[in-house]
Order: sequence, then C-alpha cells, then structure tokens
Amino acid sequence: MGSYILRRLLIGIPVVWGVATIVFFLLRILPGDPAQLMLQSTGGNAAQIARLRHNLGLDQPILVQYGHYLVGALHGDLGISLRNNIPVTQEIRDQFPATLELTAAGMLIAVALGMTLGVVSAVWQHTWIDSLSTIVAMFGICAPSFWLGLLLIFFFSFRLGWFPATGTWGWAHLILPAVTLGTGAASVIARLVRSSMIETLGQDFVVVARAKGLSQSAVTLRHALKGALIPAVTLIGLQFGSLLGGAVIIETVFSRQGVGHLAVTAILAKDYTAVQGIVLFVAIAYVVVNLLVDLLYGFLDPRIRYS
Amino acid sequence: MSASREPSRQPGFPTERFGSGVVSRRALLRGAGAAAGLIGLGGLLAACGSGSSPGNSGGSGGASTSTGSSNSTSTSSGGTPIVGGTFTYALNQEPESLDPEVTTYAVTNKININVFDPLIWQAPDLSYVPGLAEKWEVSPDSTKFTFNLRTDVTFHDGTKLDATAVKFSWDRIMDPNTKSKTALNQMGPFKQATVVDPATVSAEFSTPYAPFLDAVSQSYCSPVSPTAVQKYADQFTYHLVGTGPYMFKEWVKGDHITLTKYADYKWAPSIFHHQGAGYLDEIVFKIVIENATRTGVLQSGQVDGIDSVPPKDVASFKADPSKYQILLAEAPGIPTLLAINTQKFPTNDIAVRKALQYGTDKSAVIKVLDFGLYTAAYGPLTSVTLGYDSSLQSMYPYDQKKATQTLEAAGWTKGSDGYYAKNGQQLVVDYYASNTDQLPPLLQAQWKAVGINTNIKAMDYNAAIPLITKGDANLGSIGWIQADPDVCRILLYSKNISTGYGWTFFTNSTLDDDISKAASSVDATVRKPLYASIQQLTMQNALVLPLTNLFAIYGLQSHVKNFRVDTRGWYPWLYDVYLQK
Repeated sequence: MGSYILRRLLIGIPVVWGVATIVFFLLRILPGDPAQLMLQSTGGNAAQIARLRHNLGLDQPILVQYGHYLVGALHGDLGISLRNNIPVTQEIRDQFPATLELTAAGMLIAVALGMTLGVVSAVWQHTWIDSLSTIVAMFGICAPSFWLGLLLIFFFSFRLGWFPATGTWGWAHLILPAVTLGTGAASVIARLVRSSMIETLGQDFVVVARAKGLSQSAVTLRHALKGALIPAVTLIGLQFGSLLGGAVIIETVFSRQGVGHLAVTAILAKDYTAVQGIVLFVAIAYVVVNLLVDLLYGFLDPRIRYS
Repeated sequence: MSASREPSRQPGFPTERFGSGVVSRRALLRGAGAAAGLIGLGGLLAACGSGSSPGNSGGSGGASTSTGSSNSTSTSSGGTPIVGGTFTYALNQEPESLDPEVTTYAVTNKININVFDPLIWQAPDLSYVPGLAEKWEVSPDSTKFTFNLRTDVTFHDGTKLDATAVKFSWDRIMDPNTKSKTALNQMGPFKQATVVDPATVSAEFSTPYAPFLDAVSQSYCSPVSPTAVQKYADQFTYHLVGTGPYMFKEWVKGDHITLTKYADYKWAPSIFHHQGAGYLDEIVFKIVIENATRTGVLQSGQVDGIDSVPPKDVASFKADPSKYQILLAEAPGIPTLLAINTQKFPTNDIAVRKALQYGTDKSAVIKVLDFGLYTAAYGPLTSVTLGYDSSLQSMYPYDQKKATQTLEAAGWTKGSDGYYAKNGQQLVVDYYASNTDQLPPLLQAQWKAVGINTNIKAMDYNAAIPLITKGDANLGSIGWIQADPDVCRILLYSKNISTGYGWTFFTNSTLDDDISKAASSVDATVRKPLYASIQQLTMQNALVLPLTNLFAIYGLQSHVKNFRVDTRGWYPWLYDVYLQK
C-alpha cells in the first residue's frame, strides 16, 4: 500500500510540472501586457510602462523568469502577486478556507441529495417517483449554476429575507451557495447511482439476501448500495474537480471569498504570478484528491488490492 | 451573465456596452500621465491658494442631474444631522490592494478618500482649497511646489503629521520596491522632496509639472503614517493609517471593508458643511460584483447605497421616490466616442468619416442601450467640461440622406450588395470592440442603412489596445474622465500617435499648438476659445464619432442624507453623510 501511494505521488509530479509549465507559457503568449493594463487608466506612456515592467521583473528573459518560478515553487514560494505586491502563498492561504468550506458543503449536499435521489428512483423504478426524480435530475444538470444562484438569491434573500445575498462566513451565508453548487453534481450522481443500483439489484446475491429473509432496507442499503458505490465514488472524485471550477462562478455570484474568486481577479488583471500560483495549487489539490479517491476503493471493495 | 463584465466597470463606462471598459478597467483618473507640457497651469491656481466655494446641494429626493461644471449635486439634505449609525455601501469591484501607493484602481480611491486626507482638495468650481496644507506656492516654472502644513494634524495611530512624514510618503512611492503604479505615474518627473522645516515641505521636479496639484488632491499621493509603514511593511494594505475622518478597521477579502470614525478629526476642508468628526460611526463597503445582486440588495434594504446602478434598473428605483434616491453625476473629460483612424482605408477619406457622423442616430443608441438616461456627445469633450463648445451640436445632425450624398459626392458608388465601393474596394470599416452584443451591432445596422459595411472584430479590450495603437483598426472606442480639458491631448496630440492613445493618427500643427497653448495658460478667457478651436477642428475633420457623455449612477435609500460626489463625478464624499432613521 505504501509503495502504491508513493508511486502515485511520483507520477503526480510530472503532471503538476506539466500544468505549471503550460500555464506559465500560455499566459505569456496571450496578447496583452500586465504593466500596460495596470497603467492604462493613468495614460501611462511607454517609458512609465517600461519602468513598471522592470520593477515587476517582467523584462527579464523568459527562461530566467521560468527558472525563478520553478525554483521558488519547489521551495513553496509562489512569488509575489503582480497587482498588489502580496505573496501569492499568503493570498491563497487566506482564500482557501472559504473555498474548502464551500466545496465541502457542496459535495455533502451533492452526495446526500444525489445518493438519496438515485436510490429512491432505483428502488421504485418505473413508477411516478422514478419519473419525477428523473425530471428533477435533468433540471439540475441543465440549469446553469449562475442562473440557479441568482434565482435562489431572488427568492430566498430578496423576497423572503431568509438568507443574506452576499458574504462568506457563517451558516447563513453558506446554504444558498452550497445548494447551488451541489445541485448540478447531485443530479449527475443521482443518475449514475440509479443505473448502478438497478444493475446491482438485479444480481443474484440480492435474490439470496431477500430469500434469507432480510428486510427491504437491509437489502437495499446494506448490501446493494455498497456494490453500487464503486462507480459512484469514481464520479464523486471527478465531481470534486468540477465543484472546484463551479466555485469560481458561485463565489462571484454570491460575492464570496475564495480561490475561484481570486483566480478570476488575477486572470482579469493579468497577474501572471498569482494565476500561476493558483493553477499550480489547484493541480496539486486535484492530484491528491484523486489519490484519496483511489485509496477509498480499496476500503470499499476488498477485492481491489494494490500491489 | 453580467458578472463577466463587472470587474471592468470603471469610471467613464457606466454603460455596460463597454464591457471590459474603454480605457476603463481602472480609474479613469485624470492621469497626470501625459502632461509634461502643462506649464504654469497649476501655478496661478496654486498661487491663489485658498479660493473656494462651498459645494452647493441641489435637488431633494428623487433624481437630480448635474448641470454646468458642478458635480456637487447631492441627495436630499437639510434638517439636523443625526450622529451615529453604520452606512453600508455596495461597490461593484474590490480593490486589489488598499495601499494607496500600490493600487491602480479607482475603486480604491472611493474608499481611501475617507482614510487618507490629501494635501489639497478640488472644489466644485475646479479651484483648489486647503486640506492638510494650509497654503502652497508654486515656482513660476512649475518645477518646485512648497506646501505649508497644518500643525494640528495627527495620523490615526497618534503619529504627528509633519514635513518628514510627507517626504517619507512621496519617497515610498518612488521606491521601486513599493511597485507603485498609479501613484508613481502621478508623481511625474519627481526629483526629490525637501523638509524645509517641520511644517514645510517642498517637492522638486526635473521638468515643469503643473498636474502635481491634481495629484496631491487625491488619496494616491496622500501622506501615510511612517510609523505604520515601518511596522507593517508590505502588509500596510491590511493596516492602513492616514489622517482622514475614518480609520481602517478591517478588510474581509471578497466581502467587505469596514471603516470606523476617527473621533479626533479636526481638519475638514471648507468644501464640506461641518467640522469635527464624521457623523457616521462606521462605513462598510460591501463588494457586490454581480449587477443583479447589487440592485437587489438595495431594493431589499440590505444596504444603504450602491455604486454603479445598472441603467436598466434606474426606472424601477425612480418609480418609488419615497424609498430610493437616484443620483446621476456627469463627469468631465473625453466622452464615450469612437476614434477614427484617418490614415487607414476607408476612413482616410473625410467623406467616409463625415458619412459616419450623419449616419449615426445617437438618440436611438441612448434610448435602446442607456434607457434614455444619458445625453449625446458632440465632440471630444463632455458637456460639463470646462470649455465645452455647444455649437458643435448642430454640426452633424442625424441625416441618412446627407450621409449618402456626402459619399456619392466623393466618388463612392453603391454596389448591388447595398454597400458603397470605390475602385473595386468596398466601403468596410474595421471596428475593434470588446463587448460586441450591444453597441457594435446597433451601429452596424445604422451604418448599413447608409451603405457602410462594418467588420466587428471582437477581442478582449486589453488585447485590442496595442492593435488599435498600431493602426490596425478604423474605429476604436475610448473615453476618459478628467476634470481638466487638457485631457483631450491624450487623444489628439500628435506625439501620442503610436506611443499612447493617439488613435486618430491625425497630425496637425494648429491642433498641437492650440493644445499646448491652452495647457500653458490658467486664464479661462484665454483657454476657452482655444478649446473651442480644438473641438471645432476635431469635428470639422471628423476625427472622432462622439456618442454619449460620461455618467455615474448612484442609488441610495431615502434616509441617506447629504450624499455628494466630487468634481470627477466618481468619488462619493461621505464625510457629511448622515442617516435619518
């Protein structure tokens, strides 16, 4: 097991390095210059722009900049943010807890809602319950998150006054964003759990369990669900990535702090160092989460072993 | 989704049509930027020292619009101010840094004018009045500025304000490690600061630099506490210390910035209506980027006021004057316009440029895109700018027949596709636009009706700037807020072609001379005719297609009193504000 983890982590390194490199060069290939962007409102002339570029270290040869970036990253130093002179690691560290809270809450809602919906529609397959939950799931998959978020704000915040429309910390500020974020993922999970459950419920061991005299809920939840979980867990692991991405939109719509919001701001400001740092951070997080999900398989299904 | 346009809304682009903003992402502060040629402008203004007139409040409740050159329109006032309460104001953008010497955004100034008092203030009549500086002198050649400071001022942390602190602040801006942007540009050709005595500090420049007075009237070059800077270094942005009526309390990223009353504030300038501490206990700036949400938080009473009301929501607020107030402030400067490339085919033909003028229905644009809220522009300066020539309004009325006649008289013939052509080349203009779903298609349709084809090239505004500067476009949009009419040099001065925003590519010695002469005089009776001639020359040669004047729209609950904005129409003055609850 230990060597499996080590191998996975080692394989993760070229992935992360690849992402870091692509982002680095992509940012610089795209048209537009950060220094000019920062000075455009003051009518910065060519001399002033050149001076700012020098102060920000942007006039060094590109490979030198790349070298600094990599060496710094290896030491855990992601550089200084171009637009506000704050270390990038500090910015990410300040913003990450909010995103983590949002993603975790969103994931919780997605799993709880999705699983429930999936199991229910599988057990009562082909009844009106099944049709209803299919419609609900389709709605969840198709509805754009920003639209859903605005709608929730409109009803629950402006009309009913139950929740605040903006803000980050506290339960009241978490519910609407988490529901918005979780809905899309919940729907996808529901569909998968449904078909996975239907397949499992048709297997022989379920017939045996029923013959043994076990109650319906014991059969469904204790035996069948576990079998249906493997594909679901894979999906949930992948959903984590999309939840992180969705957090970008949700954080903007709900005016929340977070890494997504930070990323958007950095990108629009052409803040190279901040964007590089954030992307690197997210890539590493993704590698780690995927590893954890894979390890979870072994826990769920003793047949899967890692050599 | 409008959020994708929001972070770029900035002064000068209150309309959404400019998306990522025409020269807008940031403060369209009057850049001290271009101006090495402003000689003596500040000199006389400065020497006058204390000429001032208190801001006048206009209107009461409902909507009020500013007229003339004054932007001191305010919401309802009168009655006895009530001390206390928290004023919540929603901004549409978050500062990237609150450090006034590091930031490059206008929104930061909206917050910081309450925290960092400037040395001087600009009064509604555009003269300068004392602030932290009681009086000041400018050398005849505008290379040396000497300020006599008040001796009773202390920073929020108890440090005394003296000449050393002012010098420290300016030196910090010039230090490359600070990575200053806007502030550094505003310091211009700064050479050094000298502490003459504890209450007197002078700034010397290597070339004449009259815009320095403008620079020291905003928060970017205002004094910061040396004690706090030395203690916090690059974390000063989270521990701001200035001399303004409100102290920094906290910045919860992405959420809000809170300021709290500075009880010992005693040096309010004469442009305000009272002295002593501010009325409000706390000011909370909430960050609400999404337009629909920002409108909603005002409607539902979650905040007291909002910045940048989307034009489409104004009508619903105005419909209920007992609950809401709308303030429309017109800004001085270059209006929203399309700069026309006079060197590139087909706009190198003056007939084409004139046809564009006759063929554009500005009132339709205003009705459809701006909900009838804005006013049409007719030249390179907005209607509230000093020296605006109103005779331009009749030069190019909307007249489709005149448009086609002008083209035909110049040898263009209409092809079977409905568009004009000459020598086998179709009349098609390259219009570089960043927000392509509103204004460009509207103009394209209007121009099609007069036989002009438009190729709308959509791209991110920042990618477009270098291309338009190079001369690749026929049309590029621009606008700029600045209190002084010299702002037109950014667009029209020949030296800015290919190096700055000289997007008309038009070189004319009369134009250059007029711009320089107007900038070097401080006498309005001398400047006005010169600016009239500049505007006339610009429009006679149809160098630009003016569209709308610049407006900022503010929304407030009816209990907010004495809310005013500064001469640029962009920065709310909160010192006199109180809540009548």
